[in-house]
Amino acid sequence: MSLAHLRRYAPLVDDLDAFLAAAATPLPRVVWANPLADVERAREAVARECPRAVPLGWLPDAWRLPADARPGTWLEFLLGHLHSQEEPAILAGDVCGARPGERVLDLCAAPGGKSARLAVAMGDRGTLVVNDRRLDRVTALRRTLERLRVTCAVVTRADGMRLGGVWPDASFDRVMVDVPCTCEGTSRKSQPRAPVPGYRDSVVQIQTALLRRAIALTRPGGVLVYATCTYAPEENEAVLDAAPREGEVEIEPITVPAGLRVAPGVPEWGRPFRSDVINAVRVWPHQVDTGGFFLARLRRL
Amino acid sequence: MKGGAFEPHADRAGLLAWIEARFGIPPAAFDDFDLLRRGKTTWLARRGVVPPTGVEVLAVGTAVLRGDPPRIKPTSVFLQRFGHLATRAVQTLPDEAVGRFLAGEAFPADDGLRGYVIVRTGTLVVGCGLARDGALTCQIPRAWLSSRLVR
Repeated sequence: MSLAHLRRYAPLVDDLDAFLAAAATPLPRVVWANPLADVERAREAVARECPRAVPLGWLPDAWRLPADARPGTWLEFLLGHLHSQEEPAILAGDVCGARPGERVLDLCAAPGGKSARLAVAMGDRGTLVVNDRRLDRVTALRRTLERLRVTCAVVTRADGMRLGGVWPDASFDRVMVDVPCTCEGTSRKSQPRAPVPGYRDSVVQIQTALLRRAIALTRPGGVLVYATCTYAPEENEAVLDAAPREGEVEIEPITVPAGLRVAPGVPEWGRPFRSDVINAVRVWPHQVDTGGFFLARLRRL
Repeated sequence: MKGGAFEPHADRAGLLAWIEARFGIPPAAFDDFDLLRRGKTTWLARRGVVPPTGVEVLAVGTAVLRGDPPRIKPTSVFLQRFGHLATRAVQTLPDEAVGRFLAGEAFPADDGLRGYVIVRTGTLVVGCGLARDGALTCQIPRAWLSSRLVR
């Protein structure tokens, strides 16, 4: 499968050839030690199983492994001492800024890696509602969280666009909404599929509805994070521009750890967007050795 | 609601006494947790978790025990989390035997060991085993085990 469909981003990217080349190479693995289990056991596993592991730099007790590493087969992985996750996905959970004791919602939570980062940030204290729509995805989500020794989570199954009555609306301190998308940024870890005509338009409607619901479920002053694994401004900045009502949210700057290079949100793509979309971040695979990603942190006003 | 509601466990003290009698894990280890019950399953959740209403709830915290004393089975997740505190009903396997144990190979059970037990290596609590008729077998769900781990 060619990546020719990614050439449409030539106006956004600093080096198109480097971007296309990076998007076609296998993705390095990243693992982090689970503070809710035994960090020392994770360190031992990395040292024993993968001498070529390199510390991530921006996150303590996290390592980049070669693309052919299989951390999911390590005994310590089965026992929950570590987890494998892409760097921007780790960042997404951490950017949410969850704290112990808070009420936090992950609206489209499966397979649970970002939920786990939220639980770690909460010190496994408070209430973390992790929701997904399909039973098979919820099963994977449950397994991820129980393996990683999360006990503050409540697993729910509902259509995120209609989730309500969990508590009175607007009661969550933090909401993560990692929406379904065209997954253009996953080309390094799975065989890219040819774009399906019309799919982008339909998924944008779902993204917009999910972000609207997420905003409604966030208390005034609370924080929500909107994330995708795609480059398309139609699914990112345009959704951030269209979904919130006037004066409902502001898009806040994201403090990105040193060593993790990101690009700002783009102010226009066919049309101009609200001015604060430049505070969102886009991760290009040739700038950091990761998959493609988009992330925005919103404050409910 | 499908499966019924998650309710506070009706006999928390009795359950913790059973855990202490069986494994030697002190009740104080659970001071920071609620024990909930739905159907025949006991769930362990961090104290203060507020289960939501008006939505299908599939899990609150993590499932830790199934059934009631004396016919009670601990989950491997429960033993992996609290097994390091145990003083009884523990069998240690050599590191090199773990892959074969996970693959389903039976090992001789330690003398006097019967029922569901904690299986560990030198440094890791592996999970739940069943000691019966002198043999120790793995009770960790197959679906959790990657093919490369089992060898």
